[in-house]
Amino acid sequence: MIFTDEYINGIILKVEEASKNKDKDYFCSSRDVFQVRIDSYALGTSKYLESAIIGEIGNNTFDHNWDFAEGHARGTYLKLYDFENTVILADFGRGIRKSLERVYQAKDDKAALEIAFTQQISGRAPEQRGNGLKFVLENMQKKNWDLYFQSGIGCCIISDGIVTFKENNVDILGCLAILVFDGGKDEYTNK
Amino acid sequence: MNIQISKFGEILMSRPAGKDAFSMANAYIFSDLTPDEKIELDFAGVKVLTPSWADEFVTGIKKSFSNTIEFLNTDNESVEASLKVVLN
Repeated sequence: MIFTDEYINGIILKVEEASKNKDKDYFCSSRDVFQVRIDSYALGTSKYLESAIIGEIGNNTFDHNWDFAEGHARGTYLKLYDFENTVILADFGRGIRKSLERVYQAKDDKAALEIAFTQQISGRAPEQRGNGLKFVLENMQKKNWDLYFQSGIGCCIISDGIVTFKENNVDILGCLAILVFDGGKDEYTNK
Repeated sequence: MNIQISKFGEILMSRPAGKDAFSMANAYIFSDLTPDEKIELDFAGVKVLTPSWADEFVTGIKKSFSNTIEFLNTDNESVEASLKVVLN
């Protein structure tokens, strides 16, 4: 399991620091900026399914958030290039549980994530949406790629093809996604 | 009627972009559609497709027209995976 507490909490700290510094190298403040970066990634790497997965997660930031936490950057954090196998996305928006609140009262963050990743449900009902995270889960699992997704204290983890929902001891604002695709080298562990 | 989806772009991702593509097609492409005509959506040349874009475009067609829809050149992984989600 690559997603140790130390690894995850290290990334949480780095993303928070980038957000507080409003670091434009990583934060896409609008959907257009995000789209350009993904276009460049897709065309530069030919990782098309990976790009679709990244696109689904990143666009959720703009589909479900108008305001972001005070003192934090607007939009979505996207870290793509340094080491190609690990892609990190994050935002400081309302998070999954609050996004679903209009249509589903989850008992906690973990329950909200379980619903979001396994059912067709969207906080933007009656619009017919809500397949994006299911698409992410199904394809990450099918390709045997690893995923760590956290919102609040709820986490969805795919590792070695197995999906688990659990709680982290560190509460986060918004959402954090760590996607580990084949090949390359991991920046944080240097392996 | 054959529609080359790549004319909307090689990388098709967001819901707003999918919605806009359908609106454009509705105004300028489907205006020539006859009731019994099959709609062929040809994905040749599309590199990245997400379920969000596909949902806005395909569901837009399904809601507006009862014509048969055929999906061509769907072998790109992201196209195949996204259409699977949208058509289920």
